[in-house]
Amino acid sequence: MTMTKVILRVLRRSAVAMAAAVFTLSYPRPATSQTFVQLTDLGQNLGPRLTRIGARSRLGRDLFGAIGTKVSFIDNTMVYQLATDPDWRRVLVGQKDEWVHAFDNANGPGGRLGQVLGIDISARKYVYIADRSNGRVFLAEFSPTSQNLVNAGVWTAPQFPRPVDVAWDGGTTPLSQDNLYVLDDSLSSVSYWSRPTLLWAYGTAGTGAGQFSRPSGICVGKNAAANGGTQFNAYIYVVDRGNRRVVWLSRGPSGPTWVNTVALTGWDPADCTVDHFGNVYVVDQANNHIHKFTYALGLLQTYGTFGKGETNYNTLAWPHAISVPCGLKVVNSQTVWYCEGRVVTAEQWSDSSGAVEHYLGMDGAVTGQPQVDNEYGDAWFSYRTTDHGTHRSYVVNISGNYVRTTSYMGVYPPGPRMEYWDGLKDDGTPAPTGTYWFAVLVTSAYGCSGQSWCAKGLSTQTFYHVMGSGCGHPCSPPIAAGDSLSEPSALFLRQRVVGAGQPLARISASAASAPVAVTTSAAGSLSDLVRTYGVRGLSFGVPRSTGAVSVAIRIYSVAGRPIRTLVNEAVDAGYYEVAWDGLDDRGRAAGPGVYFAVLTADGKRVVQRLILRQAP
Amino acid sequence: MRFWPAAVIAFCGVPVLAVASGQSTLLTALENSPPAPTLDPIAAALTRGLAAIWTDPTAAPRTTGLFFSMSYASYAAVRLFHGGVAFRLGPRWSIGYASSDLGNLFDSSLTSQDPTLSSLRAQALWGRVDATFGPRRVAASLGLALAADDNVGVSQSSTIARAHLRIRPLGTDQIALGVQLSRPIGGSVPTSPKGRGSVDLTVTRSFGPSSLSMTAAASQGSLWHYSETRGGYAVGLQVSIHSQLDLGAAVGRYMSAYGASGSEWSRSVSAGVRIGNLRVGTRYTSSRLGVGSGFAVSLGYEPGPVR
Repeated sequence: MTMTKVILRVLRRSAVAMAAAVFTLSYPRPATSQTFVQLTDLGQNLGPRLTRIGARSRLGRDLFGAIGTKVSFIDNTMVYQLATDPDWRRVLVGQKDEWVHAFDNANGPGGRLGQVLGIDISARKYVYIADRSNGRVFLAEFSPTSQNLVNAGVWTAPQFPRPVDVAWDGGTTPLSQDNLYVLDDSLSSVSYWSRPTLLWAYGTAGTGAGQFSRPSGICVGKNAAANGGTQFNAYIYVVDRGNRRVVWLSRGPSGPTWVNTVALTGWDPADCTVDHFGNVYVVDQANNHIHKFTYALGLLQTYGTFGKGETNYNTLAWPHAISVPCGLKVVNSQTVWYCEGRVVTAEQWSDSSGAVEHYLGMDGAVTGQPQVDNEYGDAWFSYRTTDHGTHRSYVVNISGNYVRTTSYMGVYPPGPRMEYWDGLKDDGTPAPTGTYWFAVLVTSAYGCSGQSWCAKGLSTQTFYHVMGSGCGHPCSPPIAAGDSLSEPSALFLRQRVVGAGQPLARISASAASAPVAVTTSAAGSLSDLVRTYGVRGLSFGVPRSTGAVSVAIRIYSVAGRPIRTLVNEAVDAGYYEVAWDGLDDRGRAAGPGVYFAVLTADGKRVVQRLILRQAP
Repeated sequence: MRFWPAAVIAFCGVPVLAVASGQSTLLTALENSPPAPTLDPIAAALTRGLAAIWTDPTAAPRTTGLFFSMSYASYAAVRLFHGGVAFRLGPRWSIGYASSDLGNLFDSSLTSQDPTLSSLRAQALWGRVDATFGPRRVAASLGLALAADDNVGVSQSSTIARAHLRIRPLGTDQIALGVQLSRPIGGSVPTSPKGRGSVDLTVTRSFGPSSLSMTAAASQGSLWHYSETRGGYAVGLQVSIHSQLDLGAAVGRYMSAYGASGSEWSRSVSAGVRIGNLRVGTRYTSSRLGVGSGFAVSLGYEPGPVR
């Protein structure tokens, strides 16, 4: 009995040591890129790749034959990691700093695992594994108590003879729903299951709409939930590798709708994942990049170059899979499911490459230097950011003193933004004539403890300000080239032809009067564009007399039922645009047809029509 | 039994008129907007006169004549028209027609750029025929409907079969139990596989020439993939004074397939006046979009029995 305890203790310590070495390799903080940071734990223990040579030197043994996909599951303070190994036909399960175990199901139901590729884990710790060579989806539960997978089972269906990837869909109630997408590369199709019930299957082999060629990855759209966690929405992204594109689908009860695709020149998309805010990440295997997109597949930024070696930071070595750590946390005394902003990539497994975690931090750039309108004492500039974040801006005088400070409530999505100064100081008095510049501090919405990669500072060139009357807050919007008016004389709401949904953005007067703002290739007459895209966009103007008041745009069906609140915030006087993505407030796809957008501001009300040509 | 040909056609399917994807919300709106003075599409059993043939032909199984109804949503220029005729030729045949369209689809900032936009339409059409037969104690009907839809160039259609059964155990209107089944059987509009079913129970208490009726009804399912609602329930109350003036009110709660919330309330009040063979009806429906958002009037000529 005593000998048994000693052996168990030795084995346990060995496992702990092995896990600590593999999952938490501590290295000095990288001094390179501020926006592409390798780490094993957000903000701590910045680490290197998980590599063959690293595992050998620390464990005296190899850990993988290859890494198929690596996912993380966070249970409050516990971080668990699961990785498929298609070469050695097993799954590695580990807890950060504690232990790592292999699971091959050699004696379990269905027999030994085969070529295991995609893997996902739900909020209830159900594990789904695409076992391609065995033509099945392997099912199990992850048990932290058992430190391994338990209650294993296999699942086959004619809809996935060669599954390559799986994606769990928790819907708007991730703690209770466990639907599943299964991607098959032999049928070039995706099937959607409320297991064991097939809800629908979609796709055939080919190059057109509704067709895929060697699809290799699937991920489900997400967005921030009202409970402080993350929820899934109806969007689905399929990496259509053979056609070198990523396809954006929108799920419906009997099948998805083909929304849009994105293709970058010369890329080799291999897998995708979606973060808490719905941004989409795609690994580009041939070019060693991670591409970050908006939910509508607008490219935000491209990260990474080729590089191997444990200490060669901010590089990638033929990445073929990517995931976002998700898990459980307590918000307001309630357990919620949430996802993070970091990503985990699986690379080619070799002596010097393998798997690595990255944080694609906040980045940005000034896109338009300050312009001034000294008649009114106004100035403005434009900038763009690459991630969701909070914004705080300053007007600084030549002596380096802050003259005006503006904080914006809430989290803003990545993309372009404009900043204005009304020529006044913080105390409301006109700023004196002189030289000034703008500064903006953007902080990641995922939180930041002061690291430079999660808080980006931007500054503009200087500009000369002549003390004027000051337009008073809010100030006038920028005047685009050719614009004669800087703000509307009356509240208005206009239709706008837009290719995809987009959040509220401030625009110039000339842009507001343009009927088309198609984000994809726009060709043909306006009539043709309406036939293609419908009318999903709106431009509106808020005059100075009604500026800085709460503006709401709500969408109603023709029956008068409220469908979606598109805008509900205080805005300054100026011109704006926004486009509906076709979803309701709960993330469900609205039916095609005519809807009414009702803008209310300062006691006034304007109604405009929106047309969905097809469900999103 | 001469209604059987219609029944056979209805349940064997009908060729598709047009093929395209999508479905207009106008079609859904038309489906859920019965002619005045019908209170509510679920609590429709209270309706007197020809307006009933739109939602439930067994509610007035012997009434014949013709009627016309118009609804207008003041907030957004949505117009709905209903027309119908009912006659006896063996069974009581009722033929209904409805259309919905929307004016000013595009604002001037778009039409000034491309005047051809005015050729794009958003409209829905609906035609139906029902054969109703049976003695007063048990009335049954079988029908076929054809819905067509144009959503700025996407045209499509749907064929719907429907069956109604209404049992009056006492042979009077004191108690009536109704069952309805509707199901798409063809067409290009993506369908909801199980269709829609509903039941209602109506109780009437007479006070000489006047009466008080109450109905409770529930509906489950939908006709189409993108129907706005997935069922609901409603209760209605109607007072009939000297068989000439009908005053009604109903409240319903509908489960939404999409929308800001999972369910929505609907409230309606109606009034109908019968003068000789003429019946005039009106209905006001409240929605969250704005006061007076739905207003309907109808005019009917009904030489046949009231029910």
